Amino acid sequence: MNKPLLTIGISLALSVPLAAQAGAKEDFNEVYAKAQSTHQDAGNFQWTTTTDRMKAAKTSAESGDYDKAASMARQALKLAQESVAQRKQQQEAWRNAAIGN
Amino acid sequence: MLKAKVILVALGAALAMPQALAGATPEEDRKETVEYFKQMFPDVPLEEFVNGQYALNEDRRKQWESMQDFPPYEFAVAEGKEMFETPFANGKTYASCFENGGIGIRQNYPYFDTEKKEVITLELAINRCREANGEEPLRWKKGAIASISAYMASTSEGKPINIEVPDDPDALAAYQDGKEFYYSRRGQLNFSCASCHVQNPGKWIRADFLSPALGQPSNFPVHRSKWGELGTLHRRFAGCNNNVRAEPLPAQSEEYRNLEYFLTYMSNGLPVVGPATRP
Amino acid sequence: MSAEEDCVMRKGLISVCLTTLALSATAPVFAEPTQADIDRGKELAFSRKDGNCLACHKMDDGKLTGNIGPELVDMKTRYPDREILFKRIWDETQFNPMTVMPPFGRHMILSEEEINRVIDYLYTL
Repeated sequence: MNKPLLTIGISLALSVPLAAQAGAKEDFNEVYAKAQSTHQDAGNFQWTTTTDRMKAAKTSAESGDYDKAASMARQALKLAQESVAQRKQQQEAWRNAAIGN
Repeated sequence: MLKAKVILVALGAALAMPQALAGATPEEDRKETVEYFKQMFPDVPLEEFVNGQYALNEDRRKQWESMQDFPPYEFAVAEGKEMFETPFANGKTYASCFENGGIGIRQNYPYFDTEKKEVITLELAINRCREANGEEPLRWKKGAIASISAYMASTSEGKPINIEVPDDPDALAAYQDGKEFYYSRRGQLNFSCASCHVQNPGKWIRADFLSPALGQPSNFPVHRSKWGELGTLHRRFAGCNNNVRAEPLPAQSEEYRNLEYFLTYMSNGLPVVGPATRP
Repeated sequence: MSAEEDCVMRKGLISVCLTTLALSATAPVFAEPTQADIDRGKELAFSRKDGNCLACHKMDDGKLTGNIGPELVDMKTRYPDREILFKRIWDETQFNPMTVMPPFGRHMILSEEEINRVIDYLYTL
């Protein structure tokens, strides 16, 4: 991040990182919420790896590292989307492997 | 659609099997499953399947046999007997909740309760008995409940598993639900229960030897060396789900009870051998 | 930094990156792998939390290997087309729906870059 100019008042200098922080936080919140709802959509086909990434995202957010938190949440979202795809696919595909069906 | 015969053809075994109809009955499923495993392991006597990997691997069997003089679950069974016979605060005992006083009935569990419209496992019945008598329920996966269940199983040793799917659409739905669970791929690793225990029993997955689906629930609760103690079937379900990176479901959840219902039905006629030991 | 990490790091590019990943889920043109690439590939192949290939495949000097899948030998002869090998590791269910081999790429068990390192290593077998 660019160093704020000295001529800019100290309050403004503080507000720059705060504003950036706010953007990252918003970004995180949005992705995290989406990951969470997609993870729910997986029903009883949830993946532990999704849960792990969600936890890691939350931990990073709590420590204020919203960039890392958002990155973890994005990974969680992608994993959750695959688990939902698996759930949908298995609704029919399970029969292909079943004895007596 | 892939059937036993397709899997077997893939394995190089020729098999003439009638085309199963969609919506096969539980009994047709069971017969076809038995046939499948017989063809896969022609030298293994049917009742031996309850011994899982020990039925299929001579080295493992020898190690197992050497443990039989002092089985590690003996103390837990004695403890379970004592708990089973100790009266609740109201003076009643577990015996009051079960047919035949709870002795020699393991082979009938799980059953479908047509009034409550749900599968009742032995562990669920144990905890419901406690609650009906004003006691706190036990934790599901290990400890006291596994000891009591182990004692009850020991009183049924050798009795043939006798699971019924009554003529009731809800019972059939519970069975089908369990079957679907067994064959559905789950988790990031994309394994179903059947991926290992129908498609690959008798093979090694790293240092673990895969047991066949047939006879699988018969030896529970089980003392695993890995656990160093007894655990219930639902503890094992959760462990398997976790291994394939699928979020485990709660012990005694409807899904796991239905799964147990299907899986145990497949083993009808095979003897109860629980508690037993496994690596 | 791998392509995937790059995607993850950048904001607002998710959909673009996902598309790119899907389209580029084939092996691009390859330079000769370095020994470091091969070593990394072996590490990924052997590690339980990454490839864990030994769970099912006998290979190289791996100990206590499983026998669900075929032994991994003569890989260059068996898979002269690197792109095919990549696709099979990415998602073997596309080739054999009954396989129990995890779809390493599709399920994000390994990244595209990681699969390529594993292939660098497999081609030494």
